[in-house]
Amino acid sequence: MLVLYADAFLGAKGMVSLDSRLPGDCLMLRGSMVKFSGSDAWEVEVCGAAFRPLPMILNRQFIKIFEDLGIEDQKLVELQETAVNRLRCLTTSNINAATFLENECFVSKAAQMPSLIKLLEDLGMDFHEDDFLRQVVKMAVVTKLRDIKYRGRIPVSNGVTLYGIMDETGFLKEGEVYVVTEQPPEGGKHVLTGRVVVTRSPAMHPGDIQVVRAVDVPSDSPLNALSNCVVFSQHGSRDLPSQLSGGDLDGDLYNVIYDPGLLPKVTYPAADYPRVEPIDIGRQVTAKDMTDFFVTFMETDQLGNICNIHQQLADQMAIGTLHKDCIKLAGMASTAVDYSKTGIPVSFLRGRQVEPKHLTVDLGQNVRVSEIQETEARLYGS
Amino acid sequence: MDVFVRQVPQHATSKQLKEFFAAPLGEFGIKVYACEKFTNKRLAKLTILEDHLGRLFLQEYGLPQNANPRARPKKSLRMFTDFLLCAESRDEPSDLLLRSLAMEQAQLASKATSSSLTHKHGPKQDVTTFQISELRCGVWEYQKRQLVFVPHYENFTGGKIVFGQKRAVLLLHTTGSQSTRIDIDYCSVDHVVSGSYQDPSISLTLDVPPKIYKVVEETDLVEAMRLMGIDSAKTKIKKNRTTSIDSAHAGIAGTCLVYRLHLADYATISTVYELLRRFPKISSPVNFQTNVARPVETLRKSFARLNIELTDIARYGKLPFQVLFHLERLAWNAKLSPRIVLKLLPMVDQIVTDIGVQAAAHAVRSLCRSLPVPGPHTESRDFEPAKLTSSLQQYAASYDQFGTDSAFNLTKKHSHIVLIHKIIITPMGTYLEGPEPEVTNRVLRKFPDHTDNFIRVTFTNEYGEPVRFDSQADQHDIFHERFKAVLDGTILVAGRGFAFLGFSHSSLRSQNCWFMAPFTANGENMHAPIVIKQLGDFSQIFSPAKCAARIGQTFTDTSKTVEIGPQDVKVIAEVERYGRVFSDGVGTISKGLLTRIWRVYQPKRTLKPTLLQIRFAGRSLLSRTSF
Repeated sequence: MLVLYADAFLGAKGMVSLDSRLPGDCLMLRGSMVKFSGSDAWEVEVCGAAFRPLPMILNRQFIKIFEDLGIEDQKLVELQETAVNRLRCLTTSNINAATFLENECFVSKAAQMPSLIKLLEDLGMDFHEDDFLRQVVKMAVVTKLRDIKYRGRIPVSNGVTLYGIMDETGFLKEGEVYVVTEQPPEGGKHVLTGRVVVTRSPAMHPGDIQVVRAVDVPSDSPLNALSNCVVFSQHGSRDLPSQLSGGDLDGDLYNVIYDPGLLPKVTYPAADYPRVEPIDIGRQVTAKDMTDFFVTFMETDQLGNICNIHQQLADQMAIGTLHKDCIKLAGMASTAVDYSKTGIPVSFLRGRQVEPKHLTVDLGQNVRVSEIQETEARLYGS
Repeated sequence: MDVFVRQVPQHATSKQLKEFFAAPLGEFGIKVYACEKFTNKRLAKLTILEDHLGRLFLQEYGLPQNANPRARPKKSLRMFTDFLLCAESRDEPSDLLLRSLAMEQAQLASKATSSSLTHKHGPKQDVTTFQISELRCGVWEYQKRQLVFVPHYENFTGGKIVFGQKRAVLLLHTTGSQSTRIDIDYCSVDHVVSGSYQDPSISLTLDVPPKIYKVVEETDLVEAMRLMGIDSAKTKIKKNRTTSIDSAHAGIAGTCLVYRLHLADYATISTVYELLRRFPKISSPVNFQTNVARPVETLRKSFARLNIELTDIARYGKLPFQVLFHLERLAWNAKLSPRIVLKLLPMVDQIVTDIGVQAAAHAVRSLCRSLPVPGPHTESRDFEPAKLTSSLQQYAASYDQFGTDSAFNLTKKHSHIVLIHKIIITPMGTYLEGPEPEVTNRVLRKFPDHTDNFIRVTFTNEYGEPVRFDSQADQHDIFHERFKAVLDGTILVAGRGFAFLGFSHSSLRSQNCWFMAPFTANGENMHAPIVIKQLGDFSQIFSPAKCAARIGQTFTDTSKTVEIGPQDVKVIAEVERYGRVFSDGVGTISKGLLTRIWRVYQPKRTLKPTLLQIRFAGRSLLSRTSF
């Protein structure tokens, strides 16, 4: 039975997906989207939309977990070589350079650099002849190279980054996803099938990378109307998004990889951190309470530190992110991520669970490459 | 003798210049000389030890001091694409530099005579610690075209300075167990001016204030710990980061960036000079005689006078906020002394009347951007009120409202962009920046005529990076005294009192938040608590973090799309299993409404998105499945 409460006020945030079954003008919100009551605005505000599939780019955290899940070093090194070779080709011609600047360097796009280089091409001139343009392209390439070398930002061509939503139809079974991409301007939908990797940044726990089955849906399914999203099943004992580094569906982006070389043979159960309730002061919140929190947060936010220590420790340990201290650090990072919402800093909740010696490990320049795991050394070593 | 070189390629370095001059000077047998290129200037100074040889050089390659601007020397000197112009300098060469050159000459001579006896000295240990008797903190000003140092803070307790690899550390003796430590990073030093034996001073002109710490005397602490039975080997002496040397320094620390040290032993000045000259990380010291001049009035009083002029409606307080903001900025960001800003007010007022508000704001902003750092490299007339006002006029005249770089034009063209002013709070200073274009949010859209009353406040370290956890120093004072006082207080800019309003989730991580100044809208007095009340009912959220995040949600960059009626919005049941919410944060939208949104949200895009990330706030029909 549907009970209607007229004239209530509410403020909401989250994702809405097209449901072709809904009639007229209709917005269906869920309780989890309604964040506060009593607002007088009347408008739908948009802060993001699935205009195109976003590229899937690895980072050091992903690489470390993939390595711990038994992915061949050779595969990761190949991906890196492909990326470096691609960058090498970019400087060869006007068209390559313009395309690169257009798609991957938004500053230069805003400065209309790509169209200038294309115009030169039309005039039969080589951008290399101009010092400035040559240096712009060089700078852009060097930046990307540095990203690859120091941050492990290696693009995976058989991968994509998409908004995640739930299957409203109930068609998808547990362990199934529906992944559909559509690249403008050509259009044309592409539906993935078969076993794929799903994950989400920041991945620190080995269980943050999972393997599921991508399936197509019947031709009469309302899901056919969607594009550029990964649809998760509503069945099973635990929802998949929450297993991926504690994700939800209010605008989180998920990574889907369909490269057979990156399909791990084993996966680990996802972390299950207890839900942390925000600090309740038992009375109305004043401006001073909020400024107190702002200052304390500035002083005690440790997310960056925890991630660095996790990275360093994982590189040192033979079993990497599977090491018990890394698992603990992943948990601490999860608390640190939520700190801005809950008001509970890491130290108060869990105390010092990590051995002090790990906190002071300085990997900066003192570490020898032999101490780092093989892949790491091959990817980041000089 | 000193030779003043003009038309030097902007990016040439002192070293390049020195190499360049080797050949032409060699013609006259000049082997020992020094060359100094002024950073970011097309000027350089050549110091030649032997005057008579220098004159011979100038006869061929130089011009008289007051030569016709079109005159050319007998022989030209071409560096890269530019022709250098050399003339004898009006200034006497620095005695320290001459001594240093003389020494070099002697060494060269002895090397030539005893070239066979090449015995290598071991690496000589440099003396890097020097006792100082006075520390002054102030600004450079020009009096009768002469560069003078005007101190606004003086400290006679004495101490020492240690020149390290990356920074100079200044330790002041303080009575009691605490001492003050001032860390000056070399990269923050714009230039160094050294005095002479008569005035053994070193003046460091900084771009940003230094880091100041209170250090507890080690011995006392170790002793105390031993008494308490603590193993001293494990405990680390912590420095406490603070915002000023003492209360007198506190008022001027943000705007006085020249730190002038008086060496206790005058004879050490040449050693310091030599040391700094060889340090690659700090710009070479300029040997330049500068006097200390008493300030005409205290800085506090100058700022108070400026404040009155900019606040009082009967005076210049009538000018629009956008213009006043830039005028305040000149003084707050230490670009100009408040006393000089006062002299610019009539001209700015006239520009507002004659040309317009945007042109005036543009002119003051451009002036701020173009002002050099005062010092020995800068010409005194750059800071003369007459020159400043004429620059203002020029900038105002060149203002092009429809130019592509005009921010004003940008906001006119794109309705979702607004110009937002910014305040930067650092441990030691408060600076004004912007306005910069930003995507609007619900709060700003609600008061489209009052976007000036909302301001973004960012808390950063002096270099602009976030104040991060520092294992070496306790930063309690910075967070809980300095930053907290700002958050709980009011920032007065041009007569407007900005107070804390809220912060969004992402702004919390980037350490910035929104402040607002009260205004009247529709006959109602708006200030922070009222605005928040109008945004929604947050009274039932008892968690400060959550409450701030909810209020902050209204500050998220969003684009307004369509309005909908209450009958169109429904709240549907959550999909929940085993205590887990499968539908966390996701809802649905009908084709009809989505099509309406497509028409207004980025309609030029070819692909029509079927997924939207939304913010919605509205009166609705709440539907709930009851069991």
